[in-house]
Amino acid sequence: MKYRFALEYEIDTPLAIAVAVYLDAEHYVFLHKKYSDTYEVLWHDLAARKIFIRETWSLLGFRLGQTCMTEYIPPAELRNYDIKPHPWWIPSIHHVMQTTTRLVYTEIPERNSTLSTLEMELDMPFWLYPFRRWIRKAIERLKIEKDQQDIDMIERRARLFGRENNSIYLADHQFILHKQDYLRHFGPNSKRLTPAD
Amino acid sequence: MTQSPPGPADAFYPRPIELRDLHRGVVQVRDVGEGVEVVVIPDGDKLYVLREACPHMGGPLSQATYCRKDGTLECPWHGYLFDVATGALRDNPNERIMASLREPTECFRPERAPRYALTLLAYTVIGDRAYVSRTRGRE
Repeated sequence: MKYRFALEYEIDTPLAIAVAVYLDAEHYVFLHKKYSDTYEVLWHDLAARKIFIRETWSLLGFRLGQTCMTEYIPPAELRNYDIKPHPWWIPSIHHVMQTTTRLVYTEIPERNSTLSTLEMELDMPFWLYPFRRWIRKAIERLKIEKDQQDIDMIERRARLFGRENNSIYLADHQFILHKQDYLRHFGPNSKRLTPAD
Repeated sequence: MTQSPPGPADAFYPRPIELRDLHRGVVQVRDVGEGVEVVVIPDGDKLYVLREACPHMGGPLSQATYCRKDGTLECPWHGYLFDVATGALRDNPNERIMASLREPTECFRPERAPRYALTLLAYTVIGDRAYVSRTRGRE
């Protein structure tokens, strides 16, 4: 049984910064180490903008986690799917529930800020369906907490370097995921394109 | 008796660091006046005073992790590891974590990475107070 919901809110930062922060994978296991402290690339097809990853965390002395396909659809859409528990034998909701997430950032021109829209589709067995709202709340809480860490980083950088300053993400030496695509859309010579273009 | 910094008054930030209040081996932040906060790490007979922003992306070094054994400071944002004695970047762990994705391209040239270094601040100790200089480098 499918259960869909969306979580939407405004992030007070330009679209170029919101996307850059997401693609800045170097912060994942440090700023967000409370949630997962390892990140491994298991497979990638950069031409297709797909990266298959494994993230793990420690719980009660055990190391557990999940594998997940991540996909970037320029300029500002990010998808996660094929989420499986790791190691495969641990009890996990992902054994019985398929989760697909679609995160879309949209520019709010009048405030030069960003609308963050997370669409989730949970495909679960009938016996889990009565718990769907509880699962939804847990997912939303996690998303809001992690986003708040990013927002704190964005706000501090805005104070130090300026609100629209994405120069570090554009710098030759700086690594971010799918950098060529990011530059095409948000670099100094970028032409804003829609996915259809 | 009132203690005051040596030399020209404007050579130092107005508010000194009270050494008695510091905890050994712990990253602490102190307001030295004029809205400037510095990170202070006392360790043994050494005192490290540095700018509160990571030279990489401006991360809050007041929340950094200090390793006494290695004498390193890890930025909480991207894990960059700095030598507190020299300020030099000692390690970027992402070079290993993201190794398979970090193939150099036209728009990613890791060999051009700047020599990131902590901004160490000079200071002068008088009695139980350390006066932080407006200039870089340790005294």
